[in-house]
Amino acid sequence: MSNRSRHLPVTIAAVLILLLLCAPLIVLFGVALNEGPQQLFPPRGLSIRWFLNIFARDGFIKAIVFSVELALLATVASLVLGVLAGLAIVRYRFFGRDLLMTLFMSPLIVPQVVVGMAFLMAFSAARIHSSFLALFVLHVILALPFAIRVVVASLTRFRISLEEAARSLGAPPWKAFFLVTFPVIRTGVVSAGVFAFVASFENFTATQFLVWDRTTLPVEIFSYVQTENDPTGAAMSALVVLVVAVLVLLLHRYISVDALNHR
Amino acid sequence: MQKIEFRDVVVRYGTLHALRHLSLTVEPGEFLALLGPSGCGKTTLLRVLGGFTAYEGSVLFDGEPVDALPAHRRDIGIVFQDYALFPHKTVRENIAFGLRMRKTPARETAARVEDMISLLHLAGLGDRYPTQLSGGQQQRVALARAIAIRPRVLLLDEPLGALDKKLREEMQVELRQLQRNVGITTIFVTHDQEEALSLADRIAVMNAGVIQQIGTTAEVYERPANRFVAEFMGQSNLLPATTIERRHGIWLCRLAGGDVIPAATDAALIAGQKVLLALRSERLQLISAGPYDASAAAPMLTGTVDHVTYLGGLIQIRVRLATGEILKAAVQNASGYRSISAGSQVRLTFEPGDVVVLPEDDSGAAVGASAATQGAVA
Amino acid sequence: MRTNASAAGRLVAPGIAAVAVFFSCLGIMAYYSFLPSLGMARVGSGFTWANYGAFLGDPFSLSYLWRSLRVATYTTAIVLLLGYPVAYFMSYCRPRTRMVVSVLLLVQFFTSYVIRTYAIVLVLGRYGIINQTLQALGITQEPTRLLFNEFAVALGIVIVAIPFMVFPIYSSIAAIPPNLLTAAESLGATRSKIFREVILPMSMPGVAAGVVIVYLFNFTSFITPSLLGGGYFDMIANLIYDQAMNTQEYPLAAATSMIALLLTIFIVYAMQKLFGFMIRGTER
Repeated sequence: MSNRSRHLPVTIAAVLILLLLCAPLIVLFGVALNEGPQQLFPPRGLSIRWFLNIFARDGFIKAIVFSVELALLATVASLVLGVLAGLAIVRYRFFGRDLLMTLFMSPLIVPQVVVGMAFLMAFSAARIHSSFLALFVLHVILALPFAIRVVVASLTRFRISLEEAARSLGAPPWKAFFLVTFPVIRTGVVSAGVFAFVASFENFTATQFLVWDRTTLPVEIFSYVQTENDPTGAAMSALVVLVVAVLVLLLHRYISVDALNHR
Repeated sequence: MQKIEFRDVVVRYGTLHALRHLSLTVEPGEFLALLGPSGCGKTTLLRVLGGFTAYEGSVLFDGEPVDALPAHRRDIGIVFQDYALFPHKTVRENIAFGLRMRKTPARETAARVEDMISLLHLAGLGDRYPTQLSGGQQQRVALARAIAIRPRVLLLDEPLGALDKKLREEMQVELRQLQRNVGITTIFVTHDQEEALSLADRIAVMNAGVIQQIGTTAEVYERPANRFVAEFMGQSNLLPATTIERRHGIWLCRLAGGDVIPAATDAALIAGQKVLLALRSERLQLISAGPYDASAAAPMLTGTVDHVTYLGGLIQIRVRLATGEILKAAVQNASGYRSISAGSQVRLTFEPGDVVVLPEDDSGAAVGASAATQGAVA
Repeated sequence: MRTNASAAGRLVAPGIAAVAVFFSCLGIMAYYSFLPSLGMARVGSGFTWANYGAFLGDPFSLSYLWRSLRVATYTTAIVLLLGYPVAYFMSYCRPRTRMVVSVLLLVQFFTSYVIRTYAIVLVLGRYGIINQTLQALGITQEPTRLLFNEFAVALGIVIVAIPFMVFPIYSSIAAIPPNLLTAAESLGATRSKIFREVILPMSMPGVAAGVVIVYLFNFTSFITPSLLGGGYFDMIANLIYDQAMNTQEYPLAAATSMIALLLTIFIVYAMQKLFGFMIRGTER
């Protein structure tokens, strides 16, 4: 589009709004760097003692480990399910295909509170008191819509003649998939994996219903900031934002605004 | 070298027929062209052979049915329209792929890959990736990959479509020489009739899932079996006519406008029959205006030039006959530019043997044609 | 040869199993909603509408519903007003700028809502930047309570939701073939005319998607009312949590959830119809 300067009012508005978005995060970092135990911004004195305090506390470390474990498992599971389902949806014409896609996306529409509530009731009715199993199933369901959406977009773009060529040269269908199809759609799968991982890692509202013996990081942060008043909560949060920022910059090739919007 | 046979093959998508009771034999070592417009079923036939499309009927290699074999066991080399080169593998790895699938020992694989590279003039490109190659180079890699496995049959799905004209003509020659050297039975799909004519031993012209005519290039061109083939190959004038009488082995026919022209044909016709005559543009010759001997044996049509198109090697002339019909003639631009212009009077002549009698309808069967020219399969 | 249905069936089976688990959980919750509630996570037997009656007949409970709808409506409108310029900006700025904006938005998108909302708590808190500034400027003498009211909750909801509005709108603007804009310009349209006649109408599908997503998200918001409202401005999601976890009246919570769920489905349906009508209206 020509002549960006002619859009000055919009540009100014956009920049201000983006500042509004980022301001809280800047405050977060500022508070986390306070020397004293008060959550001041701008910070009085600079110190990383609160960041170090994170590691002194068992709770956060355990929560981080658990969140990562859970997210990794949920991501792998949802990717496998997503690729299988994606292959069926993209390559076959069958009755109820659109309905199926809607069903896969439905966890996104149901309010998180309701999802958590329903899982709580269902699992206690089934007398399953394992935090881990219940959370695993929950997180797979939460991650699946993201995984499927991105995988389907990838598979739709994939030229099927590549797979047919492999088959004509003697590769049975499963070999053709692993040697040819998968390497070519790998970027899309990684992208799907990133979205799935994040969907699991950052989830709070539904997860909080199911945490009994072990908690995830968002739940841990939430309960900490409700009871304690020192900058450790801010430090933990700031740390997460830092890691996310680094990941986004590193993986920018795989995750982009466009990947999010494939319908 | 294998003989390929299709017996009564039907392919249906719901109520839509892609192929209707199609039977075809491809002789060992032959180069057969499947020619037809898009949607005629030629690519579907190729996919049936490759095992990628479900079908009824039977496909046989050297008399053995292969219907139960999945695609990866049919031992076929395919060159796809978009080449389908694996983007994440080098040229060498692409060519070696089929050999790897057959668990060929590493040393032999490497040797064969090198053979292919030199055979297809790909020297120095072995370690490049497909995106680093030109269109022509990609096409040759696709060929090399398909031939490396020494398949029973080679299938080419419009492989030259993406190349520009000059390159395409060069590749056509290379392709034919290659096929003769290696001696594989080859089926070539195209919608370009010039390409089919220059490459093939035999041509099968297809339309709407049915083979309209199959025969040598000369047969299909000189003696089209029906209206579709006549129109699809080259430029023809199609003239509805009624037979009058047979004289000295030649049938005289009256055109709609009243002109009477001779047709040399063995067809079993009766007087007063409605027929469709086909006369190729290049068979019409111009005679200089001058005194005309009506008793001369050569047939003669007079008319006025409507439009002249200068095509370099050929000059196309649209002539409106005195009786109102339009004929298209294509004459060689032989010795200098002949100054014909719109409005000038011309006379056209031709050989009676150039006139082909076609059935009036498109059902496919030639009107009482002799066994030598009959080729259409209903 | 295999038929299409059987091969496809085998591939989707695991995915369908997962979705089936999901719907079973919802089904069990629906079942619970019709059981008598005995408090303390105990339930009676027998079919009853009592839970639904308790909710729909109680003005106090209904007020939560009304409050959530009200807040969701005006916050979504604000988010649209704030998000659209950002999306539009992204469509015409330099690629490098776009990358920066994209990174900023993605960082927001990938950070947990808990963290993003807590950051806003810090902004509005007694030692936060706003209070500090007001005191420094002499406008107030001591920290004012900015938190625990509707303003704080609404602010939090708006800020957290902005990225979700920007992405779909940007996507639909980016999908406009550049030739259309060039053609409009060649026909003499000024930049604001181009925006009004070409870009705005063609961005409607993105606007529709964004509005639906954000509205649902705002309506069922839990974390923001919890952290920024401190219990003083609970919304429907908080009510459900309270019924389930604090008073442990599962059937009551289930009934409230079902009502919220049905409302959600209705809202999605109604919005799709509304936007469908509007979009068709702009395509003369």
